[in-house]
Amino acid sequence: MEYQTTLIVLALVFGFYMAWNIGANDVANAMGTSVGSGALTFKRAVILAAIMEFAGAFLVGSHVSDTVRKGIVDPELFAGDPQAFVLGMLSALLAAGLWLQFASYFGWPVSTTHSIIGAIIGFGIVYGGMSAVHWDQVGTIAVSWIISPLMSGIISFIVFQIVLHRVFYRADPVEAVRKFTPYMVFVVLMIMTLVMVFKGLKNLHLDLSLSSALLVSSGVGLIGALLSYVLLRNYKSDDKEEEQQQARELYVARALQRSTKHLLRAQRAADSDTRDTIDSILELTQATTDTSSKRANLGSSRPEFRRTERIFIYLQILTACFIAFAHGANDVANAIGPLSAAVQTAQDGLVAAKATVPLWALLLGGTGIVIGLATYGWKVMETIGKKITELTPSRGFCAQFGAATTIVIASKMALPISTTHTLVGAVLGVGLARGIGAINLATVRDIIISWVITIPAGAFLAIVIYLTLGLFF
Amino acid sequence: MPVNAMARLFGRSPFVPLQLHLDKVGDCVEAVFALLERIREGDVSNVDETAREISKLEHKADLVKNDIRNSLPRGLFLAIDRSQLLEILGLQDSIADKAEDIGILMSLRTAKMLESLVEHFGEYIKGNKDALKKGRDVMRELDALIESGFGGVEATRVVQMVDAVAVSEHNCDIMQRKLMKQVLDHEEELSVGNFFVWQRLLHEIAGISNYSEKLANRIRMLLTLK
Repeated sequence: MEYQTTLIVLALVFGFYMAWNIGANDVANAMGTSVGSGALTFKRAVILAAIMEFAGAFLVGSHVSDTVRKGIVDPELFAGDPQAFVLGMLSALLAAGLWLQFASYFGWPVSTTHSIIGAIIGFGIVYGGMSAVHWDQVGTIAVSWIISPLMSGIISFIVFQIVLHRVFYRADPVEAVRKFTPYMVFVVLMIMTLVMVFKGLKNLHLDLSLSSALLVSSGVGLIGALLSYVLLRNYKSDDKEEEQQQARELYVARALQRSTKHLLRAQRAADSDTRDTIDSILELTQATTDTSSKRANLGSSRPEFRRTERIFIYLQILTACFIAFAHGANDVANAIGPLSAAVQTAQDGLVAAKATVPLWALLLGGTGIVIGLATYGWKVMETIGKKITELTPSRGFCAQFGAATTIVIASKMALPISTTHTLVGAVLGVGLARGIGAINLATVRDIIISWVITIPAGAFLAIVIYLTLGLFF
Repeated sequence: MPVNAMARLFGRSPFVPLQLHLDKVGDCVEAVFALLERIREGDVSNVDETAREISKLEHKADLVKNDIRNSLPRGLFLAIDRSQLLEILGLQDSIADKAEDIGILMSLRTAKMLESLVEHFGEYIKGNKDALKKGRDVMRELDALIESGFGGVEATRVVQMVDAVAVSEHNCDIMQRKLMKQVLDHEEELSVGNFFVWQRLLHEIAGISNYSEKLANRIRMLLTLK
C-alpha cells in the first residue's frame, strides 16, 4: 500500500512537471505571434493564454489523452504486470519533461508531443519488444505530423488570399475590413464552439449530436458577429480623432526612444553601483519602447492600412484565444494521458483498458500549464514578442487561424500533433502568399532535424529512466 | 539564452536597408548635381575635391549595398523574389556609379560652359533630378506595397507613379538631344578634349534618369494586377 502511494505521488509530480514544461515553452510559441505583431501586450497575452489554455485542456483535452495513454502501447500487454505499466508511464513523463527542458535551453524547436510519443515508444520496446508498440497507430500519428503543418499552411494561404482580395485590394480597405470582420468572427467562434460541444464536454454531460451542435455553434457565431458589427458600426476611414491618436502614439514612441538612447549613454559612463540601477530601468524602458513603437507604426506607412490593421488587432486577439484553446486541447494530453493512466493503474492494481480520462487529471494538467506559463513561459513569450518585428496583425490573424483550425481538427480526431510546427507551417503559408517580408527557412530545417532527433532521444531517456526506476521498485 | 525557434522564423527584412541604400545613392547624386550647378554658373574651383567627396559618398552607399548582400542568406524566403531584390539593388548601385563617373569626368577636364548652353543645361540637370526623385518616390511605396499584398489601389497608385517616371525620363531624352545639337553647333568654339567631355557628360547624366526609370519599372513588375 505504502509504495503504491509513493508511485501515485511520483506520477502526480512527474505529470505536473511535464505540464509545467508545456506551459513554460510551448505556450509562448503559440502566443508569441500575437505579442510580436503588437496585437496584445505581453501581460494581456499571458492572462489570455492562461484562461484559454485551461479551458481547452479541460473541455476538449480528453480525446488526445486517450490516444497517448492507450493508443501507442497496448495496455493489455501489461495485464499481468500492472506495476511495469505504471513505471513505464512514469519514466515516459520524466523523460519527455527532461528532454524538453534540455532542448528548449538550446532553443531547439522540439515538440512536446514528439517527446512524449518517443518516450512511450521507448518503454514499450524495452518491456515487450518491438511488437509491444502499435506501429500502425504510431504511423498514423507520424503522418499527421507531416500533414498538420501542410494543412495549416494551406488554410492560412487561402485565408490570406481572401483577406487580400476582400480587404487590401479594395478601394477603401478600412470600410472593407469593417464589413469583413463580422464574417470572420462568425467563422472563428463557430469552429471554436463546434469543437467544444460536438462530442466534447463529456465531463459536463454536454456532448451534443452533430445537428444540435451545429445549431448551437452557429448561434454563438451569429451573436459574436452581430456584436462585432455593432461595435464597428461607427468606425470610419477618415477620423480626425484617430489621426490625433496616431500622432500622440508616435510622439510617445519617439520620446521613449530618446530616453532609451540617453539611458544607454548613462549606462556606458556610470560606475558599477549606478549601472545596476540603470540596467533595471533600461530593461523596463526598452520593453516599453518596443511595444509603443510597434503600436505607433504597426509596420505601415499609410494611414488607411494602419487603420485597417487596427481592426485586425481585434481579429487577431480572437484567433489568439482560439490558438491557446486549441493548444490546451491538444497538448495537455501529453502530460495527463500518461499521468492518469499511471495513477489509475496504481490505484486499482490492474490495467484498465476501458478507463476514461478523469476530470481531476484534466484539471491538474490545465493548472500545470498555467503555472508553467506564469513562472517561466512569460519570459519566453516576451523574448519572442520582441524578436518578431515583421508581422502585422492581419498576417498574424491568418497564420493563427490556419494553425488553430488545424489543431482543433486534429484534437477531435484524437491525433497528438505539434502546435509549434503547425504554426510554423501556417506562417510559411502566409509567406508564400507574399505576406511577410522575410522568413528564415533555416527554422524549417531545424524543425526537421529536431523531429528526427526527438523521438529516439525521448525513447532512449525513457528506457534509461525505466531501468533505473526498476532498481527501486 | 539561445534564440527561440519561433523568433528565429522571422528573418530581418531587407527592405528597410534597401531604402536606406537608395537614400545614400540620393546623397551621392545630390552632391554631383550641386557640382554641375556650380560649373554651370562658372565656378570651377575645388572640382577635384568635390569629385573625391562624391567618391566617398559612393563608397558609403557601397557599404550599405554589401551589407544587404551579406545579410541575404539562401535560406531567407522573401516577399520579393531574391533575384529581383538583387536586381533592384544593382540598379540603385548603377545610379551611384553614374554620379561618381560624372564627378571623375569633371575632375579630369571641367566642361567649358558656353553662353548658349547655360539655360538648357540647367533644365537638363533639373529634368534628371526630377526623374530620380520620382523614382525614389516609387521605391518609398515598397512598404505599403508589401502591406497591401502588391495589389489593389496601392498598386494602381504605383503604376501611375511609374508612368510619371517614364514621362520624366522621356523629357530628359528630348533635352539631351537638344543639348547635343547645340554642342555640335558650337564645335568650332570647343577643343577636341572639351568636345569629348561634353559628349560624355551628357551621356553620363542621361544614365541617372535612365536607371531611375528602369528602377521604377522593376518595382512595377512586382505588382499583382488584375
